[in-house]
Amino acid sequence: MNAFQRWNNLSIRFKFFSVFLAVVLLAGGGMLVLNNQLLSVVHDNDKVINQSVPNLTTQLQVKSTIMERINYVMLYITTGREEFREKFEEASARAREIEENLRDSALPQEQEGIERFIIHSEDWELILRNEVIPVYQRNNPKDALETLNSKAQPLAIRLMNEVEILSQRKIQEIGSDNQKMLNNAWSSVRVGYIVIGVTLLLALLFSYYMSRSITNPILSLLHGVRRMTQGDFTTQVEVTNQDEWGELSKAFNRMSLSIAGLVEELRQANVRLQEESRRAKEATRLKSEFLANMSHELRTPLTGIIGFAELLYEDPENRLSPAQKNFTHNIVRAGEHLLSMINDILDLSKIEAGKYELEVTRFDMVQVIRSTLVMLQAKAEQRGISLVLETECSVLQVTADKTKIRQVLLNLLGNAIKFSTVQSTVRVTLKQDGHTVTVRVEDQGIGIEAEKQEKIFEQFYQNDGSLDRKYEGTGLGLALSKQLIELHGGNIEVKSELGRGSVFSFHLPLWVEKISTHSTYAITGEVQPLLIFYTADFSEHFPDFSKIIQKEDLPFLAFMIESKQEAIEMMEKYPDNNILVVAQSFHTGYVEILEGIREHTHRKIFAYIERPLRFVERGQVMRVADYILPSSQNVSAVFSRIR
Amino acid sequence: MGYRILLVEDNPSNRELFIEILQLKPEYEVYVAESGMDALNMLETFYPDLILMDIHMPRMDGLAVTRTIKSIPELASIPIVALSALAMKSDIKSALEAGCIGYITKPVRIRSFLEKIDMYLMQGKQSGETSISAPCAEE
Repeated sequence: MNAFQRWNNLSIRFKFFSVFLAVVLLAGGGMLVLNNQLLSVVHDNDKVINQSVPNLTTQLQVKSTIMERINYVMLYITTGREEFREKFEEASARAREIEENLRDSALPQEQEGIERFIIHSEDWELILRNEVIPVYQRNNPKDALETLNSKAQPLAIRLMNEVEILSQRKIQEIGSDNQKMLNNAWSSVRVGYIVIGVTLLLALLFSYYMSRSITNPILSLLHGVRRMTQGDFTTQVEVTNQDEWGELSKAFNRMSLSIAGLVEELRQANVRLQEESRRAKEATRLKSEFLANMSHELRTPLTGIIGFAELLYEDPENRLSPAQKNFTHNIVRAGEHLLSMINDILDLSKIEAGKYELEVTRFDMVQVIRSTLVMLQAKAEQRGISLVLETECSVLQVTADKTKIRQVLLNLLGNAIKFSTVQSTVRVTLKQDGHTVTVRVEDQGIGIEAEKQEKIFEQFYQNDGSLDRKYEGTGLGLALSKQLIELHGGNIEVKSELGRGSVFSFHLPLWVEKISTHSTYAITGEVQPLLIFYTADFSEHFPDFSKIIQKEDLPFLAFMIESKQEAIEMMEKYPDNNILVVAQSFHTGYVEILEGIREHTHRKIFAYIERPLRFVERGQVMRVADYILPSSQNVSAVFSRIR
Repeated sequence: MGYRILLVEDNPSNRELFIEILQLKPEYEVYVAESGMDALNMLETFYPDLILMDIHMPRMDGLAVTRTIKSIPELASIPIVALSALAMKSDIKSALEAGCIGYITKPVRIRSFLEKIDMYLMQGKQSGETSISAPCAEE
């Protein structure tokens, strides 16, 4: 198991390599064995063909020479013809030769038998040579034949038998060699089969193992990827082996961990952002509330200052001296200045809080510029400055907030007049270029240093920057103008040379889309039934009241309410319904119920009181409720109007 | 023929100021209520030609008073002009929604204020008991 595990952990490349090497080695080994077997078969075959068979043939030849020799001797001694004796000599020589061959080619185990046979054969031939042929030559054919028949013949037969035995042995040997050869051939075929089978089996097992060890991790990774796609970023896959797949799985797990970490971080960041956005919204709400309050609180005393000063200035009975009159006029002017500053600050703050809305209308730019110039005419004439409008258009319709554009013009022209040298010209140029309107205000005044040209659009910045300023002004005008123009989707810029004058120009698109920050209420298609609360004093009248409402086909739910606590509890059970609170007559408990409801909801609250109300009582109800039903007769009419 | 103008204003100094300003015109008869409740009480027995309504008041604000008046059929046709130091567009919008025919922001310049009052009186007289024609809001 341990070894298997260690094997599993090896790299796939190594596994492939080692298994193929094993297969090759096995196949090679098998081939070697097969080859050896075949070689031995060939060797055996060689032995049979080159040794045993010729040997056998030789033995047979020996046999025939024995026959030949005895026959030639026989023929010689019976016929006496010399040719037969010569033939005998030839056969004898051949036999000698054959016997030599036989001796040479004899296998060791045959050696002895063959040697013995050769001695016997030589003995036998000596009988023929010494006891038969000479006897015949001495003219004793009878004895020769006698010796031949009685002595040589049986010996020949014995010799032949010996040869026969040798041959039999040889044949047996060939048979056994043949058998061995067959066995060898068969066993080499078997070995071949075994080698092929083992190799194939090994390859099969390995391919199964490899396919499993490749597809298993792929499937488990695929599963992990699917789970991740479904949003489970903490998915981990099992790491079975330490090979390349194991590495991939580990990398996947690490990736999924880091993704899960990132997702978690994002989620937390999102929560934080939501919280921050909520806080920012709350801060914006508080800021705009504060602005509204501040504006109100500053304007209230200013109302007194400007108002009373102007009352003094009006002086219907002519009791003020000219100097006093001038003082009061100064108070009014100072008050007005303060007021315009408050307005500017408020506008700037509103723009910054994103609460500013343009009131977009279609108007003639030429006309607005002309009227602005007329407004400033007197002021310019005081300093001997002439105001000039240059334009090719007689009418130029634009869509923008007229009041704000006029405010910007007043500011730019006011500045131009303020900073102009005496007896100079302030030139206004109006141009239309495609979808852009450009207004240039050019003066011949003191100019602005290059490095300060950017800063003049910042709040509370005035060119000279010192406390005892030569030119009065809040330093808000240009900042506000820039914001207003940008709110229109345009831009404002300045070109100036110190001592030579300045050119302020703004570019406006011909069309300004109306920017609305009002959120429209989602109108729910389903009409929730009206929630009716009635006080105890109304309980005996309620049946009649409910009949009237039922007649008007208005769905409702009615509950008798004893206290404001009950009303609040009930109201929270039906969070989307409008509420109608009904009473027989006006009493403080009724107003308390209304107040309790109002504190807990922004829904529409309707009130109905059967008995006639005094105006003050009505006022107390209306302080909290949205509507008072005039009578029970036309309830649905009231509701249809409200919806 | 004089006009009866009801001024609803909680701030004593401003109250005095507007009384003085309105009295510059001899044809105006000025009545004063110090709070919304006060005004409703007075309206039980009194029918003015114009109501100048402060919006930001303690206990019951000018919007609620306006809505109450508009919900009372007998009083609904009295023209009400908001007179307020609240200068936001949303304030103007909600005042017009509550039923004011006009909105004057404080502080005021005497001349233009009196002109406006004149205009609203004329408007109220012409429109009589019917509709509220094109409410004018002043920035």
